[in-house]
Amino acid sequence: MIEEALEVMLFGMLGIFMIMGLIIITIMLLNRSGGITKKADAD
Amino acid sequence: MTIIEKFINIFFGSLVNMSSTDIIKMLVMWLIGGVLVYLAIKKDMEPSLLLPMGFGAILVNIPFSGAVTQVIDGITEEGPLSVLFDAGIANELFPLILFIGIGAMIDFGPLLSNPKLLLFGAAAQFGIFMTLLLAAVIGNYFPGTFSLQDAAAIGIIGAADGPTAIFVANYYNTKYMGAILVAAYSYMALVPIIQPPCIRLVTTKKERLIRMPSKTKPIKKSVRILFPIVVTVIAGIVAPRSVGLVGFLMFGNLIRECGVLNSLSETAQKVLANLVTIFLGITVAVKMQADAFLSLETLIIMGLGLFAFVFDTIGGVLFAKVLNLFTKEKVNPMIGACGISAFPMSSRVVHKMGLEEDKQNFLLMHATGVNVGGQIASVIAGGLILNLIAK
Repeated sequence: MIEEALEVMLFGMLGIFMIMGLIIITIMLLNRSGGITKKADAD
Repeated sequence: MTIIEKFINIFFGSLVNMSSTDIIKMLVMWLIGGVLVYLAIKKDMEPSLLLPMGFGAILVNIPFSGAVTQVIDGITEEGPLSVLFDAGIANELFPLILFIGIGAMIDFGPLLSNPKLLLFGAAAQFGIFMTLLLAAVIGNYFPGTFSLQDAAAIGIIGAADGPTAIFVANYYNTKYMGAILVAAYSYMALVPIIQPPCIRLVTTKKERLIRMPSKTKPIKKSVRILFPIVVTVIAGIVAPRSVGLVGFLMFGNLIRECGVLNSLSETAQKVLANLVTIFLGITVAVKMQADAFLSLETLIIMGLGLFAFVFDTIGGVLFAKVLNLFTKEKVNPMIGACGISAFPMSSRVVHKMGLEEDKQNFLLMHATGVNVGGQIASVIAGGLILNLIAK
């Protein structure tokens, strides 16, 4: 059971950082490009 | 049978037929219920949940309580709280609906203007996994206590997020749900007492004095609208079981940010969230029946819950310190503690601590960004655990 818990710990933390990393990259790209509705915002 | 005996049998039969142990257990549960009600009213500790839970604990521990389903003389009599439990918690509906309200309440602006803050939210979930591991160690050396599923449900106390704790505990159908929720909500209310000493323990005065300039960039509406969709899709692809949790949270936020559903957003934030909260608190008390609640495991779970909150805080702060080794623009490591979720209390605590060290150090904006990031991270952590540990 301890081995399984350690595995969950490893993949859990890895998974969170991976998801957060992907979200951060996407937000940065969105912020830089102004989002797909940049023109509508300006209007 | 004399008249007096008949009188006692009719009106106090349930008490007379109880063993002395059962009476003591009942009184202890009433006392626990009373303490929760007292803390909610007198100390203002998470009153919206601790008060219904406290009252519910008294309600379900009245002998042969009609509030919960009982089998009397071989006949099953349905109790309203048990029916509500099956209708709203056993199928995970109440916590999910509450997430729509929470999503509608959160302004992700501070996070969107500095998305890197999400990393602190991720780091502060360390306590969840440390607690899961510790509970698994206990379960391993003391067979008959915690299974891996119980350990997962106990670890999620560290998410510092009630609906996630309910969702995960219910998913694994743990018998410790009552204890887990009492621990989760009690410690959430105790964040202003738990966090400051932990933060001071792992930071120096010099680090606590680090100033962070306010970088408030206006966020485009399109980014605000795309954010909840992006988060749902990314979290959903990596951890499909998290979609229920993340999706409802983000749906609430989309209602808020879309700009065309203001009345729905307002309803979700106030009426819907309040309505579900009323039922959630009192219904959870079904799991606070003396036989299940009064055990050594409950005390261990209370200890493990505290451990989870402490390690969440320390994990977030240490991550900020490590990050400072590699970045030019230093962050005040105290903001790492806000990744614990417990929104918005945690960010207020850190902001106050910053001002105590330096009256000109305004950390609120950054702390709030980390705090809402922690809210997302805790929900994703819950979803990941569901993915990693089978029922």
